[in-house]
Amino acid sequence: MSTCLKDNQQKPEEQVLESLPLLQAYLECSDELQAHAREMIKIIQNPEIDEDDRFSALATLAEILFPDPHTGHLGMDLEESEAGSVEQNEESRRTQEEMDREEATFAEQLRIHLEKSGITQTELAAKIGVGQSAIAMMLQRNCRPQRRTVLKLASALGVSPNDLWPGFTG
Amino acid sequence: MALTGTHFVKHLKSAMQEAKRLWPHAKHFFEVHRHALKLRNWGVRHINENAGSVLDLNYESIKALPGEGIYELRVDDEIGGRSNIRINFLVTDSSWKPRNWVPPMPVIWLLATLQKKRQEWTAENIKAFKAKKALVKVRFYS
Repeated sequence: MSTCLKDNQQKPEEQVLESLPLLQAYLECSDELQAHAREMIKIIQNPEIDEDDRFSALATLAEILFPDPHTGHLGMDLEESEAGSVEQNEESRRTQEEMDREEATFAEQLRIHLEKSGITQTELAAKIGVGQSAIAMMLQRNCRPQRRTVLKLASALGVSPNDLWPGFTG
Repeated sequence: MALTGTHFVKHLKSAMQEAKRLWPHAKHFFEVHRHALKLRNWGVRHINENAGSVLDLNYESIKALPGEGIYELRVDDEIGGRSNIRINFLVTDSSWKPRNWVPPMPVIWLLATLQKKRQEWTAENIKAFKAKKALVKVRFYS
C-alpha cells in the first residue's frame, strides 16, 4: 500500500521530519508488535470501518507505539486507577461515593431480607442461578449487582426490587 | 494494591480510552468498571467448559480465538444508553513469566470494554484483541 504525503505547501522532507518520532517508535517495537501495528493501520485507513472499531484500532496502535511511562513494570491496576481518578476529580469522588452508598444500602437490605426469609445464602444463590460466593460478595459490598440480579433476588425473597435497591428502575 | 478476591485486574491504557469514549459520563464509566472488577473473583468462578459465571456475570471464551485465553464477560444491563456490553479480558498462560515482578496474586488483563454489535465479533475486533494480547505479553512478561 502506498501512502501519499500530504498535498500542501510543506516540502516532502519536512513532512518526513515530522513523521520521524512515529517511525522511530515503530522501529523500536518488536517484530511481533510491528506486525500488529501494520494491521491496526489497515483498519484505521479503511473508509468502510465502523467508527468504534476505528477508534479501538487507533487507541491500540497508539499504545503499541508509545508505551505509557506511568505504567511501569506492574501495569495499571483497575482498582488503583479508579481510586486515582477519585483523587484527581471532584465529580469522580462524588460519583464513587454515591455508588458506594447505593451498594451499602443494597447490602444491608439484602442482609435484612435474607434473614427474614430464613433461607441460607447457598439456597438463595441456587434460586437465582449464581454461586454462593456471589451472594457473599454482595453482602460484603464487593459486588455491584446487575439490575437483572436485583429482580431475581427480589423475586426469590418475596419482596419488591425497591425493597432491596431504593429507587430501582428495571 | 488491595488484596480483594483471587486475582488482580489490570488494564491496558487503550481499554480505558475506549471505555471513556463510549461512556463519557463518570457514573456510567464507573458502573461498567465495577462490573469489570468482579473479575477479581475469577478463582471462584463457576465453570462450564469454556463458559461460566463470575459472581452474577456470565462469560465465555471468544469463539474466533480458541485457546488464546481471551474471554468476554457479558453485562446485561444497559449503561449510558448502550446495551450488549462486553468486557473482554485475558487470562495469561501459566508459561508466561512476569518480567521483573512477582505479584502476590495472579493477574487478569482487561483488554477492552465495548458494545457487541453483531452476533460474532468482526475481523477487525479480532485483530485488535490479538494485538492487545501481544501488547500484554511483550510489555509485561518474558
